[in-house]
Amino acid sequence: MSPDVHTLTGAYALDALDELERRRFEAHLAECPDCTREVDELRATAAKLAMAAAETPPDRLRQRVLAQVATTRQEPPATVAATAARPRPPRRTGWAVRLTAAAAGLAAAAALLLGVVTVRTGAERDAARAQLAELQSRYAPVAELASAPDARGDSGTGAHGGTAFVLASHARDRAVLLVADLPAPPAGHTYQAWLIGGAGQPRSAGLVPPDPGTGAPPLQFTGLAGATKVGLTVEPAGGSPQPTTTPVVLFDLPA
Amino acid sequence: MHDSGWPPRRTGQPQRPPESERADRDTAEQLLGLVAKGDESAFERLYPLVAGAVLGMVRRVVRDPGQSEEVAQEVLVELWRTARSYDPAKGSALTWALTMAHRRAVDRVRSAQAATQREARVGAESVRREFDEVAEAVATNLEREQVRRCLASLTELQRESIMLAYYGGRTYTEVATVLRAPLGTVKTRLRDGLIRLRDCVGVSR
Repeated sequence: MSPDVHTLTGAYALDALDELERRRFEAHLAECPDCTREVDELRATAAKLAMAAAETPPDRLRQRVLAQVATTRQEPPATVAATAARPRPPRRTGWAVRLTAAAAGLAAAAALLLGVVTVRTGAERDAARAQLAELQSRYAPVAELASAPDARGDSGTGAHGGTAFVLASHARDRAVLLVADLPAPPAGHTYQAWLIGGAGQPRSAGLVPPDPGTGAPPLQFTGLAGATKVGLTVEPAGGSPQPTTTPVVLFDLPA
Repeated sequence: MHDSGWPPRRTGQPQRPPESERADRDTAEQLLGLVAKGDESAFERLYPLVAGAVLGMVRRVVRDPGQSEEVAQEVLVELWRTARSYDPAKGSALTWALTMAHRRAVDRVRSAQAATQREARVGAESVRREFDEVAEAVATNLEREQVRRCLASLTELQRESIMLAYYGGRTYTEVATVLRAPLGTVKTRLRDGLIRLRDCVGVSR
């Protein structure tokens, strides 16, 4: 390992690297047990700096946290790095298959995607029908794209839960992105999608519409050439020219 | 120089920091293990062990009190949500929580707008003030005394680089600009400063 790379353990442990350097260093860490051990120790040291700054938290914080915990599901152990590094299991087209079938029965797929609850009463059924009709029109671009002969889909699991799915057709240079169950971004923030790979910096694919419940159509984008991955980051409202945070979801752009 | 820090419990020694902290740490880890199984009451007991440090540190980095509480809340809920991802081999439960918290705090301030705002107050004068403010706050209790003492044993460049990076949430490139020091030097000082600090506070895993 070059001494120059090793020097970065300090800056890394203090979160003082910019995004690009951080990713490079993490790639290096994966194959450098010495660096990993040093980073762990330096993080423990940095934690001392945090402990030294401890203050008495107000009781309202405790109340809010406990209230939120009471309604928050726990995640299975998983990390972005692990998801990105591991070769994907062969179920990569699961969503695509469902969606392609959905060209015939789109409502079923939309119901599946958005987790429409079990229907019990007639009124609920009517409401669900209305909702599905609305979804059908909103997801028309998905059905249309799914009819492209080379349309492929792939999905990634969020570091903090939820799923993102991309259906892409390179022949048409078009793609749509759908998300489900991602945690709401912090106030004043939004999810932004990025095309990563090829020459140069990540390219913005646009802002991910907020909760599907708001009726916004899914994000559509073009300019797929050269990109190999799709990532979502949390950005300030309005988006950023370049990612400023670690992707919460990162997965392969379907080839 | 601190000794090796092991065994964890040296009985009959009047000096308090490592023992008392280690006792907390064991508890935090056991609790986190229960939290990973979905035990909400364990989370309630874990909360007081981590919340103060999480909030205090986030506040140093984010500065705005409202936003700081928001970030602290996110982090504390994240502890619950991702408890199963905690790997004891990587460090203590508190370190895990604080690593997560610092990352979140830094993400929050390092957004485009925040960067512009920070640019505006990057003058040496304000940095000095920020530094003094932190140094003062850091010196207010006994546990902090050790950290303060250890920070004082660093060179000025090591200390200021570390404090600007950690409490200021700045990248080392920003630190270099603020301190008008070469990039390579700051990079090196962050590492050797932290290593010296590590040896002084007696971090062991």
